[in-house]
Amino acid sequence: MMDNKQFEAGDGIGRTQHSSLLGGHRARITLVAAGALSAAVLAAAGVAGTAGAKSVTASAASTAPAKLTASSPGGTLTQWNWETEADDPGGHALMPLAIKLFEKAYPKWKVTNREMTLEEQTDSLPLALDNSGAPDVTETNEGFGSMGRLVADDELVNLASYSKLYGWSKEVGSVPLQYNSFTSNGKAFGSGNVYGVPWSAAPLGIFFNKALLKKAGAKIPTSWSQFFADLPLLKKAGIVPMAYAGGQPTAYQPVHVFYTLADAFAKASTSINFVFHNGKSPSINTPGYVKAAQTFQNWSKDGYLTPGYAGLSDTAALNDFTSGKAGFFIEGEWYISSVQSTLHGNAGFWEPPSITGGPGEGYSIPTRSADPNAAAAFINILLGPQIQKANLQQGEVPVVAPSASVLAKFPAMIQSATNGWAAAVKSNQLVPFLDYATPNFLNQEMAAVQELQAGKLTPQAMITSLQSDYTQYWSSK
Amino acid sequence: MNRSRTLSSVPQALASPPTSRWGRRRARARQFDTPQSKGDRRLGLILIIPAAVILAVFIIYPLIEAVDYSFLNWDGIGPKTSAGLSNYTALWSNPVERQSLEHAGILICFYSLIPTALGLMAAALIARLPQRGMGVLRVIYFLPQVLVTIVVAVVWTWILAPGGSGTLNSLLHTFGLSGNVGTPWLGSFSDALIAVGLVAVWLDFGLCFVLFLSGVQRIPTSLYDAARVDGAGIIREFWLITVPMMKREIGVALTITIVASLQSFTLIYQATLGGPGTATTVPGLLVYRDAFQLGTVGAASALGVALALLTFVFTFVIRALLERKGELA
Repeated sequence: MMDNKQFEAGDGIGRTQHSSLLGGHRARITLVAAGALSAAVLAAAGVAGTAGAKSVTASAASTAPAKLTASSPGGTLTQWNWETEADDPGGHALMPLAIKLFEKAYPKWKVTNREMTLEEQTDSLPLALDNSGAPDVTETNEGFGSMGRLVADDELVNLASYSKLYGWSKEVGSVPLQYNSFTSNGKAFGSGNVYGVPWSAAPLGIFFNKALLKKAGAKIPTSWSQFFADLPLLKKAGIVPMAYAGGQPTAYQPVHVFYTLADAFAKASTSINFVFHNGKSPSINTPGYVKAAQTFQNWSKDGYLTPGYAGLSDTAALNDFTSGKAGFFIEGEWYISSVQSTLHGNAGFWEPPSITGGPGEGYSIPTRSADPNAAAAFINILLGPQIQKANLQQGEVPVVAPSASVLAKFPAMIQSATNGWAAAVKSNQLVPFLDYATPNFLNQEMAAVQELQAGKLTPQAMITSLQSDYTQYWSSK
Repeated sequence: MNRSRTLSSVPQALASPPTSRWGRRRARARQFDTPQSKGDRRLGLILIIPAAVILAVFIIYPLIEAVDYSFLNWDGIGPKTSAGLSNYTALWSNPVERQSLEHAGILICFYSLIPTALGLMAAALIARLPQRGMGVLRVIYFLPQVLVTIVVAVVWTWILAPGGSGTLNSLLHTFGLSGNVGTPWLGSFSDALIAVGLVAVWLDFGLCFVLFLSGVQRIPTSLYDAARVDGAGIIREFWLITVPMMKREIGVALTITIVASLQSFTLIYQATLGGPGTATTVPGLLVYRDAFQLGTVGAASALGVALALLTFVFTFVIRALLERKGELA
């Protein structure tokens, strides 16, 4: 009885939890929250999983990849996503538009739209894709935990030929597609075949409050040295330099700030090789990473962070910043609309040259999709100019770079984010979220940062411990 | 020691004949062999079939499956390979898993022992008071049990929040303890587990209290009267009459709350997510993480099976203690 109560409740959390976080990292990260159903469901999943295992009737294999035309035979395209109104209002608003555009281009087709929470999807995808009720096209989550698992179980179509057919890699850029790539055994991330195509982007960046900076005699950051020089000035002026939260529920700032600092001190290639496990023994045990950890620990010691941060949630940090109580706020572009609507022109968003971020969830084509060609045509609609521009209107960074004249019509913060993303993708300075590195890395990192801030770990010890967790994972794989 | 001598005169009057435990059982079994009771027995068996089927399908079968999975390396869908005992050895060799079991041990105090003790005392006190208003009290104290745990967790996160927004810290400030105002109770390495534990006390106290209240009301007042005539005070009454007469309720309360503490998940998940660091990580959280986040169903099952075993051990120990000492049972 206790059990039931607890797990019903668990399900509820997930939903509220990621409504506060938008963008790519948001949805992936809420895997953490996904499907708290414990052993009973676990057992059920196992039973069904073995029962329905691999009778490979892959319809995808029987259809040669070709562009869908208006005269192609029609049907119904079952489409799944988790752009629910509560979790992702932007994506939710765009979905009817995408369906309308598709049905207009291919009048013989109807699209069904099934929106579900990320938890529902995470629970159901592995089984749903393994059975006859599989959708024709569905969003999937990046990373080992979801997409990697689906690829390993042979549930997703390799999108290489469609990508070539429609020129996706040219539109989106090779980096965002790399985030959706796995080797066909699902073991190596960031190489091999493309299994998903994203339609929005989500970089981290640094929000700043112009009025407070001015008051403290600090300058708007355009370089790392400028940014680091501003912090003590704010502190001296009695302003909290950094709106920050490290507690529950759902504060991911500990890792997001750590990534941003790592981007300041470590080479992008170090982090990229670490996440994608390139080279012989990729390592973050470098002076740059240790310096990032040292800086972070100093911020805690020097009182640069919101007081009591260890017990605050990310909403508290956002409120701190939007109510004009802190000079800076390091988080993802998905907060731009909240900041814009409260601080208006008083706030800015700086994208350093090297930034951490990732594309939003991409669409994948299940192996059991009834018509992969129609599925690919739907994906292509999402990358088209109407949907990409509509992304900007919703305050999201489009994954296909817009023209300068289109972009100029939008608020300055979204312009910075979009330009920052495009520049980083182009110059190979876009760093994937470090927690993609291993399935358990996010948990290990969150714990390590909290211990670092409490002075329980030295910067070097923190990096050493993260590196050893990583090495252990890869050596046992 | 003195106490127990006075005690012995009271409950033994009500106790069953002093046969051994096993002797009594055999005697009971023989009783069933009359023709009349054979029919009763058959009817009884038929009546438990629906419950037994549900139990077998939803509890026993998954349990057996979980034991099976615990010896595998398996992501839940793909191919399975044998893991031998490695999932079980990891329970000790993996510091995070071992720590989670230690935390579970500490939380038993908060989920079970403290609420039981407080509930007993409260029930005993109330038993001495006039009965008016009892219903209201019962509802108020039982309320935390009725609330969905997630709501409890959210509310307590607000209460324990740092700075002026936290109710607890504001209260401390009002009483002049402003040095503590900034304390992030749920975010501090030294306080978080205790903070969560105190929420659990609040949560389970009502259950124990209501359970004991009905037990206290069942105790014949003549026993108290007799004790008072013999000159026993409130403390003696408590130890010599209330506690021994309520062994059954105490057993039920301990069993329910210890099981709840070993299964604790929602409160931790919402309030701390096992943090800061791994300061409040509990087995339930790791089972969920292993199974759903990390796709290591074998490791999750091993931890789940270990938890189930621990639960059985606790239940049997409590039962055994009660059967031996609680002759009233």
